[in-house]
Amino acid sequence: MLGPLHGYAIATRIRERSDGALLVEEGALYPALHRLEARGWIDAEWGISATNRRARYYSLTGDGRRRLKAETASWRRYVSVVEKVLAPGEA
Amino acid sequence: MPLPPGVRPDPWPPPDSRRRAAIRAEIEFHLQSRIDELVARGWTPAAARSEALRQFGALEPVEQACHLIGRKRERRMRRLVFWRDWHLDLRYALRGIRQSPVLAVTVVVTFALGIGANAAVFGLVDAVLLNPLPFAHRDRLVRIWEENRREGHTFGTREQ
Repeated sequence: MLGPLHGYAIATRIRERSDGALLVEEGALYPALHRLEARGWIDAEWGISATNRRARYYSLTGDGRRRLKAETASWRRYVSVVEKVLAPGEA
Repeated sequence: MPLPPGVRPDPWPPPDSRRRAAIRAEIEFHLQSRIDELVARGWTPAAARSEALRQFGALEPVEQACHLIGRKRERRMRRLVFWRDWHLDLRYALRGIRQSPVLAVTVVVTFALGIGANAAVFGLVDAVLLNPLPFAHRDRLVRIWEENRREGHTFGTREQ
């Protein structure tokens, strides 16, 4: 699993892995992170970045890890069901 | 855990200005990191800054949204702390009662007698002085008496 990451690293990672299709405006990431923190799914802590600046580092909590697992499973189920519905010539 | 003399704990919840400053610092770190990256790839600092801002999108709504989320969270935590303290106080009180039951009984009896005496006296005063008399047209009630001036007798009720 990932260690603590700051928002910039998370944004960069999402952008790279999605070829820029997700997170069109990077700013939108921050309210999402703060909401996850308020729900207790991630923890935030101030630390010093590799570039020697103060940054806010986020890490998954135990609750967050469980939630992520559940949401991932539910997402995969959803995708596979939609895939079946859309598959041509089988209905 | 006592703090060293002269050291005050951080105010809780933090004032709005402090929360806003923290959010701005977090956003500023993001922008600075992006600028560093672009400058390393040969952008001029000014162009890098405007490109970083463009990629980030509007600042104000992001800051405001984070601010509101944080404030709501702190309020919820404050409520939780309040009820936890309330629960601890209650347990503390119950422990005290269990440790000195005689004192507790004395206090309860004192309260009971005090409240009871008050209620009784008030009930009496209420019935005799405060409540109107239970008759129809009570404003037309009259008092009648007769006087024998020569003998000095009075019959019927009359204030002396």
